Amino acid sequence: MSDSLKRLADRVGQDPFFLASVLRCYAEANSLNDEALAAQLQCEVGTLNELRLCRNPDAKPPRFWHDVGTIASRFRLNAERLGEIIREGQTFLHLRSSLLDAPTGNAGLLMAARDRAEEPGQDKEE
Amino acid sequence: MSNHTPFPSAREGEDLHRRLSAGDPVAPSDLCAAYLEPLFAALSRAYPRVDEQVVATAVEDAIIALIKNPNVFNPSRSSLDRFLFMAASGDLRNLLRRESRHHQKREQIPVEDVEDRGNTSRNDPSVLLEQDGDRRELLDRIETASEGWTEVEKKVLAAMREGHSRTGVFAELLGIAHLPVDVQQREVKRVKERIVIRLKRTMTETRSDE
Repeated sequence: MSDSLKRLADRVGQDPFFLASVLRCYAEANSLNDEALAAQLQCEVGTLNELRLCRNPDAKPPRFWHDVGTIASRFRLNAERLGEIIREGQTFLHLRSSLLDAPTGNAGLLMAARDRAEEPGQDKEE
Repeated sequence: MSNHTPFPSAREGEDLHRRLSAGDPVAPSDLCAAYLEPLFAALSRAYPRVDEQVVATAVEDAIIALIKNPNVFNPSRSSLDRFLFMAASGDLRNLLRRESRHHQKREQIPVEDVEDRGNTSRNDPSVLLEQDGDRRELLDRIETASEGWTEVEKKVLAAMREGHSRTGVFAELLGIAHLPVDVQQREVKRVKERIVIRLKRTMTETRSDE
């Protein structure tokens, strides 16, 4: 079972319909592997694929927390923590797609953002 | 993937579909967990000569399509497992046709090799698929056709499908092995012909329905 779920979860990793895309963005932005991501979500690594195949919660506030609550309840997760992670992942996802969709000029912004994230001490020195 | 995971019941399928339609964020995950493996097993059985990676992709295509557009399934017309099987079969055919066209474009044979003549079509995935599909369809039709037959008739049909030809085998099934051989031969011939006629009639009716 886990093989087929993993294969499908990997396949939809860039599809914003699925939670997989949000968790992927969050993990990439925070340099997390599956174990570290599972630790942040306070769940087993084996739960990640099922989680990834859930629908990405509606970003609008009332609906967002309803969806997050449903997912958290199903997988016995901390709803507040899950909500924070999804919010951050959705922001990264939105930012990434905005930058990639922009016709010109923003590639440098994306690179600059990445550089800054990779070298946290640099801003303080300037 | 396991070949023995059963499909969820029709009621469970309807419930999952209702949750998908209502926008339950966990429903896609539950649908995948419940249907991926049995659908893969069913499609692999129906198309045994098709690469299992291609089968898995077709299964995923069908499931993703349903998740994103649950309205394509109408619970009053069929069960969810049947619907998904039909959808995945269609996706598989499309994938193989695409693959076949891709092979045909790439394949350029400068000198025709007489010994190899015919290999292209024999190995062509779409041809293999059609053969698997035709065989499965034929078996399905035979199954359907024999519904309502007597047990003896079904046993005679099964013996015919297994390739038996000796009169004695059929005479035993018909309970006439004690009769003279010429009578056995006549009766066996009559029953076999009746079965063939019924099957032909069913095939013709099914084709004219399509």
